[in-house]
Amino acid sequence: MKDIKDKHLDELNTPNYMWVTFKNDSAVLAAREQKTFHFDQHTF
Amino acid sequence: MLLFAQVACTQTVDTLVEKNQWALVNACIGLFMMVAFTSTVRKMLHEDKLNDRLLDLKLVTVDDYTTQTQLDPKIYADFKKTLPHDDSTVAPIMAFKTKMIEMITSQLHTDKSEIVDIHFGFNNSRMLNKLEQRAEALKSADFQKVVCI
Repeated sequence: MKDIKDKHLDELNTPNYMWVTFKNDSAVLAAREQKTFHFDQHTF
Repeated sequence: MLLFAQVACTQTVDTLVEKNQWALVNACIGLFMMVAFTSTVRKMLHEDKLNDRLLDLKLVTVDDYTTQTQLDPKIYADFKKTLPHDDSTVAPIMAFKTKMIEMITSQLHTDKSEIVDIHFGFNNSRMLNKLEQRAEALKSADFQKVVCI
């Protein structure tokens, strides 16, 4: 376990999935329709 | 010693025809039962799925307000590079979360949008496997193995 911690600490701490919970219906629908967002130079 | 006995067929043609007809009737009944059984099972499965869907529509859960997306690991890696090295007051993932909320809120084409929370998922199956192995070793009091894991 320690070797994994040491070797892959960055990998373990890197998020691969994201769940965004909205407060209202319109925001959820808008987010689902929009599909792409930009974060700095990246798109997801 | 082998004994061969040859007996003449005593059944009449009418009897054979009658037997063939009964065989045909039996085959038809079997086919009908098979079709009825298959269609019943299919109908039950369909209704079950439909009921699940109806139940899902009736229940309002947090999933209805949540969207899921896959993140490229480079996004977080590049974000971490922008953080000041001496700033240890906020965990990088929390800073990432705060900035992500700002970015999504600013890019959404709605008048009113509020993000309740963001959760992240990690590819940590290898670590979880090791933890399971460690738990098994602890259960069996194999402390030498525990240290190795």
